Amino acid sequence: MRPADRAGALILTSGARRVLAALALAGAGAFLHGLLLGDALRAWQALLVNTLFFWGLALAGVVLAALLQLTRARWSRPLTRALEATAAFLPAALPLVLVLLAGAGGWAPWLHHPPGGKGAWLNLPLFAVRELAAFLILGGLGAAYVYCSARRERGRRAQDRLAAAVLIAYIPLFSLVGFDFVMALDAHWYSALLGGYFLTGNLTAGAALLALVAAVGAARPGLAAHVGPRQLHDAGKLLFGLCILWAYMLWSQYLVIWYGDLPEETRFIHERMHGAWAPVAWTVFAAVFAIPFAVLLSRAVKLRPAALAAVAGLVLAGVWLERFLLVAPSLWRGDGLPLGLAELVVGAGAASLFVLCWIGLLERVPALPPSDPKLDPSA
Amino acid sequence: MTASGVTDDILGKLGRPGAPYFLTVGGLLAVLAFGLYAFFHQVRSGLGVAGYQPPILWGVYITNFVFWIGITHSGTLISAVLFLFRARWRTGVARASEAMTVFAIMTGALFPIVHLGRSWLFYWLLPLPNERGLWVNFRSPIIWDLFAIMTYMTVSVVFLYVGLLPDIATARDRVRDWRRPLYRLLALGWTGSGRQWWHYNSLYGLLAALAVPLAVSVHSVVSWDFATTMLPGWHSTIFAPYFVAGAIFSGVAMMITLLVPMRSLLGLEAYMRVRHFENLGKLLLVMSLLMSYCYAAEYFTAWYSGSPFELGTYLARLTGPYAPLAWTMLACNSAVPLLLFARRVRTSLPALFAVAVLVNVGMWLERYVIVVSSLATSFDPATWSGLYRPTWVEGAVTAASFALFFLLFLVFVKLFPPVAMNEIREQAEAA
Repeated sequence: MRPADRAGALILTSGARRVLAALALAGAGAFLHGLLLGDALRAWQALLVNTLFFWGLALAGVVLAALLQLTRARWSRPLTRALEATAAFLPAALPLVLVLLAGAGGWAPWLHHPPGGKGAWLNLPLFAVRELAAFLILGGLGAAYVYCSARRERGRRAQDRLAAAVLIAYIPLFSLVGFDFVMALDAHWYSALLGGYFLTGNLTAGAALLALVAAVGAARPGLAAHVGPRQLHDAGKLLFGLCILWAYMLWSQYLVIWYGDLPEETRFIHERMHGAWAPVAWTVFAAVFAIPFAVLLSRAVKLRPAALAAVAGLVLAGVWLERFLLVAPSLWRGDGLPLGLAELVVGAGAASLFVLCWIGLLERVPALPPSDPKLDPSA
Repeated sequence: MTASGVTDDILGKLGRPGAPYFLTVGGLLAVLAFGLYAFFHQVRSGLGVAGYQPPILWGVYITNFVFWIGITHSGTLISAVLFLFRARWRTGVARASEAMTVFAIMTGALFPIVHLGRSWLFYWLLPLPNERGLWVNFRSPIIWDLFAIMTYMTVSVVFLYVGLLPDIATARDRVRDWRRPLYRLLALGWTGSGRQWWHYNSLYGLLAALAVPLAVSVHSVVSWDFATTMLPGWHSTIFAPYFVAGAIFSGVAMMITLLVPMRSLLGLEAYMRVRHFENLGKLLLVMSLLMSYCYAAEYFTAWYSGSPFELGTYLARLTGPYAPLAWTMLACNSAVPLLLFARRVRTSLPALFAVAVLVNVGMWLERYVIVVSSLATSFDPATWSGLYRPTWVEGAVTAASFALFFLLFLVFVKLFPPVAMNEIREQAEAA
């Protein structure tokens, strides 16, 4: 790709870069302020939610790229780089995970009230080893895959093998992250599907990011020649499918618990669907399933970049809120919702850091994979 | 091969079958007849002639029901999902998989009836006003089953039939014997006009999109027959996706089991390439890994839950009287398919066939282990009486179900084009 083409692709102006850097610093400041001077639990909650969401999003981009590579999807080729570049956030996520592990005493209830019989699993050394191993394996494989994809001279076979390895590692390890960082917050509650549900939500956010990139790319001079109706339509369909899959997972878990009506199972659902959390729960349902399902049925919406971008943005926000809903009600015992300015600033900081890393990498590599023989020139 | 060459070649496969075909059909009819005799013996004598004894009142019949409904998922996955994903390699194998779906659902849907103590009252499941004022319990997953299976069967039959229409019309125009009136009737006046093709294409896409959620719903509902109970080993949130994954897994295995012999017996090597089988092998491997994930999640959660009942049930599966079956199932479903990581195994049809047959065995055993072992060790240890041993009646009825399925398939492949001629012609013209 010529430099002139690259200029029209996904890049940040220096002003935007400064604003994002300031927001990232403000986020870090808000976290420290909460930790040292304010409500420490709320600060930990905010960090946990944002780490789960943005670390997950970085992985989801790579996992979707690997999936599209293995299934020989042609339509997504012009968007491959943008998906893969989410891996740039992985090094930035490591300090976040390390801070969470170091400060586990501030947010992990099982450290203070060890549940009977679960000490063999829920103990800090084993917990830290598990999560670090998951982080390093997923991050290492993801980075290796992106590197291999960017330097295609090693051939398609090596890339395919790495793609398969990424997928095979992602499903059990990211489930483990769900079990440990979400399910264990309420140490008496258990659901075999929580891991699968958690990673489906994460992939839904990844698909929303892909749709957003397609929608933005279609309006950018550098990418518009390659990102056309076909990309918009298929990215919209993928998002539509994943929103349905998310709802299916949600329903599969909900129905069995509702029907069984066992107190140790219903508590998790009950505390999220009643009281102050009920509006959040319904907002999540509307944002990740009801609205995208109704709206994306229409082909016209999928083909219109602005509309697709709006739906994708809604789903991204919805999954963020869903992660919040998974985490906070298990920890927060105060009145009202622990969702205020501090949480929003920490969230905005994490989002800014994500965008800085992601677009930062995209600016350094060709936004299109020109060496890809299957790059469809006629979008 | 040219487009007209394709038509001649495939229609040629529908010619008069040879003696081996008739011998096989005769053998299958004999097995079917014996199964029917066993079933009527059961109807006359009562369910006691099956191996049922408290607390195991769901046994081989429910195992068969779940197994056959699982097999139906091949058609949707291979045909509908791959169609929606524009995976062109489906062309060679889609028709057979759609037919398999229809026959498996017809076979599977019989088992809830076979399993009833008074089979002749099965229509009580239908929400029909009647003189006794009985009304069905809409909160029962058994009723959900009825609706899910009937809907899925309807859509699957229509999906297969709509896909067949252009090929039936081609056969109608070429065949000159007794089959012509049949094809004329079934072709519904298809002329191949642009307008008809336009409608055909939109309907086929619509049916494919409808069939996918229906297939998922069917096996989810079957899983809820179990998961909505309180029984440890059944009451698990992962059951719906786990059953759907298992269904696709067994469906793909059954496809390979059927297609490998069919390919050589009917001489379909030109249409069902090794490449197609390699892709099916990859699909089988992916589903096997997903199944292993589900097993791991189930066993992990049982241990993590800290519930002695949950953990006890899963330990009993691995160490109790049903342990040999459980370990065989794990070997067939999780270990053997790992061979498919080797390209050499995926591209060798005998090896692929062997793996697929073992997966079929493993998946049947999986359902057996789930159904029987959980019931065998339910909450009250006083009821843990003896080992459930299926009787000859259950064996005969099970064998008859396989005979019925293979028989329907054999009749189908001689009466209708076993591969979609119109799609192969289209690809040949595009190439």
